[in-house]
Amino acid sequence: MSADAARASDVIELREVTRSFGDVVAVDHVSLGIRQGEFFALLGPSGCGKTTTLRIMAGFERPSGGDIYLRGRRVNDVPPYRRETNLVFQQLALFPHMDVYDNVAFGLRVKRRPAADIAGSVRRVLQLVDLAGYERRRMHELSGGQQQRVAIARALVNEPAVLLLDEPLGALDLKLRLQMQRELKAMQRRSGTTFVYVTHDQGEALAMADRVAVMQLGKIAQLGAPEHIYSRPATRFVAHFIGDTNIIPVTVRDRGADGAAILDANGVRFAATDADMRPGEMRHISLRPEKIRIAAAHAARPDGHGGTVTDVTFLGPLTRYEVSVAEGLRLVVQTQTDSEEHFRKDDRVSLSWPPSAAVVLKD
Amino acid sequence: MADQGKSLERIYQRGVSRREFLRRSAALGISSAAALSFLAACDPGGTSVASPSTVGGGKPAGADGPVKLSFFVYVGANQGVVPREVVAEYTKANPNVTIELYEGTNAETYPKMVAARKTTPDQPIVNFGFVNADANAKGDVDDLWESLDPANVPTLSNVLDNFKRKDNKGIAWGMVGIGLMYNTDNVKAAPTSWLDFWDPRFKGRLALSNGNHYLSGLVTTTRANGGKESDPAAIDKTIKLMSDKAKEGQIRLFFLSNDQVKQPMIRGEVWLSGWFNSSVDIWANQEKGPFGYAAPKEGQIAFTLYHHVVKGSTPAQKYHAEKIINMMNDKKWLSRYCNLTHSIPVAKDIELDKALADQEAFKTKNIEGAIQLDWPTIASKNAEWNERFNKEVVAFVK
Amino acid sequence: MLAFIARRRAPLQLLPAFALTAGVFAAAMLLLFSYSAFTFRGGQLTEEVSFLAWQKFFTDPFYFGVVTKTLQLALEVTAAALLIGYPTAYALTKVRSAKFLVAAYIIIFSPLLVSLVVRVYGWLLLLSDNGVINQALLAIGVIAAPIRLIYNETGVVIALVHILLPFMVFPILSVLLQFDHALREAASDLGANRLQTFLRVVLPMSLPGVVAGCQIVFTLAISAFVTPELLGGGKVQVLSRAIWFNVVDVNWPLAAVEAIVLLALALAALALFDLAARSLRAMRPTGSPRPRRDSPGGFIDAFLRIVLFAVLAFVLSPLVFVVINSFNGSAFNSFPPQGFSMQWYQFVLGYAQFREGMVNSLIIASASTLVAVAAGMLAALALTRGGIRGRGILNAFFLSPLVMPRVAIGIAVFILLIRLRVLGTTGSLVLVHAMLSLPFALVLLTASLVNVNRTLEEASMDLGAGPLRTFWSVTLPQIRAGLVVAAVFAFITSFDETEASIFLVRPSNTTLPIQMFLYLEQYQNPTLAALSTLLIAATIILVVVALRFVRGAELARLVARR
Ligand SMILES: Nc1ncnc2c1ncn2[C@@H]1O[C@H](COP(=O)(O)OP(=O)(O)O)[C@@H](O)[C@H]1O
Ligand SMILES: [Mg+2]
Repeated sequence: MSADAARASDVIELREVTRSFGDVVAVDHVSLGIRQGEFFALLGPSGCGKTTTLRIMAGFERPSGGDIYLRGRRVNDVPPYRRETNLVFQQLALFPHMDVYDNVAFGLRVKRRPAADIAGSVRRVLQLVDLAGYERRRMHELSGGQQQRVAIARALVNEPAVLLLDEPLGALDLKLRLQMQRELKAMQRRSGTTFVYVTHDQGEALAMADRVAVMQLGKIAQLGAPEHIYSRPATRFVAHFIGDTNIIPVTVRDRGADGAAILDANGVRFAATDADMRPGEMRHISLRPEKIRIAAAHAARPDGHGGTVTDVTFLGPLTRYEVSVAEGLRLVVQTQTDSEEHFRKDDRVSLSWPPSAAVVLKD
Repeated sequence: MADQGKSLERIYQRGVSRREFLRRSAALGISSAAALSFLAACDPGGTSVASPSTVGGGKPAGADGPVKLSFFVYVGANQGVVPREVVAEYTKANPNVTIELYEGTNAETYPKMVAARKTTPDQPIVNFGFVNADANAKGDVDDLWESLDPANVPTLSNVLDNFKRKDNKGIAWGMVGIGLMYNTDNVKAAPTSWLDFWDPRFKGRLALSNGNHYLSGLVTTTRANGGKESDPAAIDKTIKLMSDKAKEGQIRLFFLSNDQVKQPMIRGEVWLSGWFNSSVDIWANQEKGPFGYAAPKEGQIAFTLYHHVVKGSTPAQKYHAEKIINMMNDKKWLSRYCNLTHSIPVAKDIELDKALADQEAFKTKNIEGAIQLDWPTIASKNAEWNERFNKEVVAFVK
Repeated sequence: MLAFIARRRAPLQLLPAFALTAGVFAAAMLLLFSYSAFTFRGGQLTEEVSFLAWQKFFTDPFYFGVVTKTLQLALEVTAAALLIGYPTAYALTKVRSAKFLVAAYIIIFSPLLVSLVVRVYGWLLLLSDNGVINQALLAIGVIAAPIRLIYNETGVVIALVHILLPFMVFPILSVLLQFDHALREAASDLGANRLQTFLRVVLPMSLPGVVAGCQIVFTLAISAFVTPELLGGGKVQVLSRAIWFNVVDVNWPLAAVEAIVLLALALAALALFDLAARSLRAMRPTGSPRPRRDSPGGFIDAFLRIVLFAVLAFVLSPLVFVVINSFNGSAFNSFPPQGFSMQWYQFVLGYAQFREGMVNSLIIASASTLVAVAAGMLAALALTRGGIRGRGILNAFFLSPLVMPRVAIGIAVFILLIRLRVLGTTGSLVLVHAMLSLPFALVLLTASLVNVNRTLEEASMDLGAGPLRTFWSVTLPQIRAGLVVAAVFAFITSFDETEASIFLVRPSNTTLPIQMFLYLEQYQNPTLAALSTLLIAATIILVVVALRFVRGAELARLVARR
């Protein structure tokens, strides 16, 4: 098998794909493969190149460099209407001059499928998105969530190899968004279709996706399962972007016999397990607030670090503390509200965490 | 209802004598006729086509074979009656001849005739037909007209003397008079002179035709003051007079077409203008509008109408065209034509219906005493006069 | 279609429009322009090369005055038309009743359906010294003596605004109808009051329509000849009038210079408009199609309603007198009418020339509309999406036939056609009319396309529809209003064309307006009023019947898409 051939298991594969608009490099040497049947999320802040990547997959943008394969076939030059992908647009782009049925049937009609087949397919897909009975509604007679579902149905009915979704829930209010997230996930499972889902909402990505690619400035910062990305972020950017975290600049002091490294942050010393570091090196670690145990100063553990509470935020089930540990080192700690003890501002406390909690970042 | 229909029909029968549409620059684009006539002159396609000539009136070769002719006649009710009768009679006697009638106005057709001759010199779009004073003068400049052979057109000798053409280039058969048109509701004492244009009693009530200065007052005022249109000093003097009068508010408006002068005259906004007797005849006598026509004491202007053969026709075509023109000018046919169309004949001894013969414009003194303008001068000076008129007269009317 | 497809085909798409404008208009005008280097002397045009005409035009202060007057008049008319036209278009978007809306459309269009001379006659009845308005004002004692409303500039401006109003209203309307009312809702959500909403949202988004309307009105006003001449009493000396006199007098060198100056002035004005349009394009509407109506009521709505009714009354008033006059018992148009008569209608129906003219006009207008709209659509696509350089110049080129007085076009095309030996053929008339209609089609379709929601087209392609299918089933429905208006403008341009065509027809293909013109030269009775009334009635019947047969949903979309 030559190096050029695409991996057979991947529905879509991007190889060193680059897309620039004048001076702006929207997508910068991106390589990734999307597997058959998975729910894949492209996550990143606004402007990082998610939409452009998706539009390259859909065929609306041609890569300025690199190649894109769809089911093993190079499709750089294939226009959107000859690709087995379908896109759910950020702005939905429903046809205002057609009713629900005509919108959904559009793709099948273009493909000249027999009217009876079309009617059957449209019926099934409208059931799937829970819109049976809305066939003759026009777009302005639907709620936001219903329009959303029409858009998805209109794409799904074509049974695409890949369904591309560009922040499809962006316009919905929180409650509806959460409901639609569940529905979408369920739809994906039922249909078995490969989904590529673009979002800037990390919660959404973590909740729905089988795998997530985090994008930053046109590049892929990290790619992996949600739990992995959360627990072992590769860079400061990823660590920050996914959930709340403490990023601590450290110096490597020593290497313990157990393989753990001893790190020093402004005089605070602690161990970190996963480490491929040389003593004297300067690095950053990510320490998730919920991994830190907080205790009263008098009940301090031997590996505890003493500090003073500088701020308390009550978050309902959780409580968030800011603790000043040393000069210039302030850690955020998160605890279950109903468990453990409660502290107030200026209380003396002791913080501790297992060596495995300190994730050493690449940058 | 039936009566109305009848009266309407009568109106249109009478309507034929309105020959204002024949004149050059009738209005709007049509009046670009003369302009169009020129483009052929500037066309590289050809400038001089030797005109085939027949000498001595003998039948030219081919005249007995099949001959096709195109005969230009005026559009309008009754205009086509006599030409059709004549053509029917002629082709019955000469079955080898076929004649197509081309109906239109001089203004619109003349330039195309010229252009056709210059681009396709052997194929004039019409071979012969009706031509008015203006197109006639233009055609002289453009060298469009054949000389008629007196042997084929003996009626040439019957034309009134002051309407005879040099070298028999065409035959004059009738005329329209240009005189004073006034509003009879407001003008109790009819105007009598071309100089009445400048009478204070018409202050703010004078409408002047623009674009053609045999109608605008320029030429008539000059003549009434004893000048000639060919004398630049006399023209200067008239323009000065008109300019002063314009500043004084003598002139209300300028017009280019029948309708433009007719409506304000009916409404009483303007009371006096120079116009064609044939128009006033219909508006006053048929439509019973408040119109009066006066032949000025200096004489009405003769706007003469002709029959011409167009250069580029084959000798055989010319021969038959001349024969038909001769029939048209035969006493019997000309009298019938003039009665049907209310035209003033300019040939001797043409019998007219009494109602017509009694009209002012038809009186012999007004025909023979009509002013014969210096048409070649007018044709060459009109553009210059237009410019000066717009600059020195029109610009000062508020 | 998608940018990358349009880009590749853009030059091809421009070809038909380019061929029409270059091959018919530009070639003819250049031919005419070449005469500016010839000499006119003593009533004779000679091929002697000189620059006397240029010299005369640029040294004689009289011509400077003519240029100033021309610009002043065109600006006055454009400003007045915008002032009246914008609120009218805006008020029309608020009309709920589809029937009333159709009626309003027809009324605003109706001046174009009535032959020019008849329309002018209506104004004369209204505005003359003892006309209806003066009599009314005298009767209520507002004035002591008649005020002069005609045979001066006042009358010219009134009549030009009247006839050019549809050219302002419909471009604005088609843009207003097209954009998304959700945006307005969004603006009012953000706490903007109605006036702010209008100033910040509606006005900026409708500017493409405003610019298009101003372009058309200004260029038509700057080249108008017959209306200024007839209502100005031959005293309002504008450039087109000077051209007319010189064409007639065969002083073609001077006519050519004047035509060049007029073209330059108009192109400069167009470029300014284009500049305005481009700097405003950033503000063009985007957003999803979620049409919803505004909440009714309020002072502004009441005001708009009054404006709309006032404008409709203004548009209708001269035509009402035309209709009344068509039953006049008097042959010389006396007013008030002397008795009732149907004789003019009888005559119209029996007059063979009108019948033949009608058939010729319908054939030529239909064919030229087809050509103009097809070529215009392709060119508009290329211009809005092709990423073509020099768009401003191309645009000005395509619009240039609008600014040229028809008499200059007529003579120039005549010279061209006779040299090509195709003068008088029906095909040549169709092409000439298509060339004259193309600018309208192009301006209107461009304004529509600018506002098309491109995401919808992408959605269609994403669903497997190729460029053609996408254009047909997604783009076209979005620009339907603009397309209909473009076709109607093109049709009427041809159906009403007189000044240029009169040089180009043969007896066998003479069109209706020319027959009417020839008729007026012979007779001045109310026959033309009757014919015009019949044309208005035929249009109304046609529209009503068409509406009956169009599917209900289609109609709702067409007239009430908001
Ligand atoms: N058609 C375009 N022309 C110019 N720049 C563009 C275009 N599309 C996207 N960009 C730029 O590329 C970058 C990535 O855009 P996009 O893919 O839309 O980001 P995201 O969807 O992640 O918000 C941005 O800086 C954006 O401004
Ligand atoms: Mg995006």
